[in-house]
Amino acid sequence: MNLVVTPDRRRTKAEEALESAFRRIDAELPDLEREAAFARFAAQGLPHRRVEAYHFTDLRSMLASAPEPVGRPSPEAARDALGADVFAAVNPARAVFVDGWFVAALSDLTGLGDGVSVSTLAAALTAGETIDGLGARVAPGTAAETDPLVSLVCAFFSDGLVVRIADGAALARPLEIRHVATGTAASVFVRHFVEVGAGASATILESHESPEGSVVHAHTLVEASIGVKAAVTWVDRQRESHDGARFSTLAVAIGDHAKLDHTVATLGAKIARTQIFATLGAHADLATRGATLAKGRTHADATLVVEHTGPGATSRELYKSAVDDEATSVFQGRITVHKAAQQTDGRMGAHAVLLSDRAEAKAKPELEIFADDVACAHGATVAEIDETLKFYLMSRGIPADETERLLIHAFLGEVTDAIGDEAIRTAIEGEIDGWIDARGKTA
Amino acid sequence: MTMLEIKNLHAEIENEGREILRGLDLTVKPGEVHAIMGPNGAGKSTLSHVLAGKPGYRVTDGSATLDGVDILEMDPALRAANGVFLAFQYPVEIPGVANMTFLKAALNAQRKARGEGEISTPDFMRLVRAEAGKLKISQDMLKRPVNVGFSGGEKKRNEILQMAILQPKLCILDETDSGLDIDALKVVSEGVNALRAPDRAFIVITHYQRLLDHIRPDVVHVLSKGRIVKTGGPELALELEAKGYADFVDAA
Repeated sequence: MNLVVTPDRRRTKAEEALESAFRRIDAELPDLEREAAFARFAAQGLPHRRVEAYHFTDLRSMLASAPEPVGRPSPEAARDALGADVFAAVNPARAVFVDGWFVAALSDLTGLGDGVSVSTLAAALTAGETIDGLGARVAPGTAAETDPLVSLVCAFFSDGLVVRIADGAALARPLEIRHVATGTAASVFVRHFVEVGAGASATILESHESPEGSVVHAHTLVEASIGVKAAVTWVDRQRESHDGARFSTLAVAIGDHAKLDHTVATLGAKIARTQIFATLGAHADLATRGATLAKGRTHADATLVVEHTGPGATSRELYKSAVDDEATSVFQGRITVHKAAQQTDGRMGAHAVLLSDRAEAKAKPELEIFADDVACAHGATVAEIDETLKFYLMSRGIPADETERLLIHAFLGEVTDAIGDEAIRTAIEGEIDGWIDARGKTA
Repeated sequence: MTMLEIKNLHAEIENEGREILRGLDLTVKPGEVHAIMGPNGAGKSTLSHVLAGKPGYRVTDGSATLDGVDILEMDPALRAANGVFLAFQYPVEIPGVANMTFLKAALNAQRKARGEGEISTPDFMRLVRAEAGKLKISQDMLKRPVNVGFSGGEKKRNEILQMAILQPKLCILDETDSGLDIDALKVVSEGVNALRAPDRAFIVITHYQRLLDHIRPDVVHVLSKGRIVKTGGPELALELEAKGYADFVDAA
């Protein structure tokens, strides 16, 4: 096996660990274009600050090591790994992944309705399907395809879900893809495919959690396609260990007149990077919102690449972060309007509130416009808690700490209020309020 | 018996070091309504801010006690729990915090600070509905974020609503009449008058005599250059309206 490795550079410990891990799993797991993917990664190595897309999130220096991937957990260990059931009130169907492996015994994929098929990647491949044949794929030649985190998942993925919703079908209940960890130090790679047919509709929940104190580097890649006039609601809740890492990529193609309403809440991980690569067809409608809460010495990055390829599409990006202690939040957003995408309506906002003197927030919103008849805007703000608001609330008897809680909740409320389903909204608000209430109690 | 006792109060703006209050004395008894009038820059708003504990001011000398307790060392929330209420000249908009949530949080925080139990939700709803009705505050205004999208008059009525619900001992009205048309002024004044009580005092800060036609003061003070330069009965306000502040400014 020949890996393309830049010869004149000494690899980092993490890169070396990934390479030796890859040699091992490459021999054990079916090929599935893994070598090509790993070669794409190895050619560049871990991205660093001179790579524009990772300028603020220099993984080469931040990732001191990369734990080994681990095998399937025992049924007992898998059961014990189930953490808080955040979406219990939503009563969704469930696909549970433990340490990156689908666990049927913990999952419930009943009642999804006609025209809906959900299987594991392993089952799909056993049934004779090929990775290439799975409909929802990262488009070749795009920023997503060459992204190093995407390449890593494509090289290492252990398991994943293949969700297909036929034309005109509706997911009868929300589907939660729940990722938990036993706590064993591990790099975990999961790859999901979600294909939503024309005129179909679905609500999909993602949940990511690892036990506090564990060192799990959790990688997820979702490749999704949303057919013409389909409508999808997607809510992603991320709460990894403060010693772990979360790397999430959603690569989604939104068809003509289709709609995606997406929300992500990030509350943990020493290093978190959430990437969204979205391509919008004619008159498509994308709303994506993020709430990031970072404390201690953590680093949370949300990076969006939104491509308007057809005319008349709308995109709304709203990312808000509350940053405490010595934490850092990063927002990078790029809206590209292709020449054909006349009458694009794009608006992107990134807002951070700094809760301590040493907290940091970095924002880089960008517009790249090749059409001449568009309405696009972006804005970014970084501020502390407004003293005027704080005084007003305190002057009515509300103590300083509760005042801050109210104001942080209100600040992030713009993100959560937009979640249409009340049970889902309440679940995400509960997560956020839990974080706010715990402020200052633990580092 | 004295409720509020201010002695030789000196205060400056923190960042500028500019002294605004220069030895202010004021005594207010329970049940009284005191009007404080004076030209621009006299220190009227500074007095209200210093009493409520707004950041950005430094008290360099003197004292202010409420029922014998020094309030200047307290943070604004504790002052409120002890009965100080400032009706803002410019009430602040708080996006994302519903008016009802805010009122309930404030009332319960004060009750907690005083060692009282939380009010039950039905009792709270009844209280708010009754008081809001008197002030012509709609259900919609109660549901909306605090003061967001409220007109000037609605914001001032919302201040009085908070006062009615929190039942403070000492109410300081900082130019509550500014930006009000005559109808709104009436509603606000009626709200204030309804709260007049033997165990409650008011300090009404205003530029104009007009408000005092509706809220009749017991005592009128003229503030100039950071000190009370003249004190009299309601007739003093009329005199000021007729003659202007010039005589008093020179006297100070």
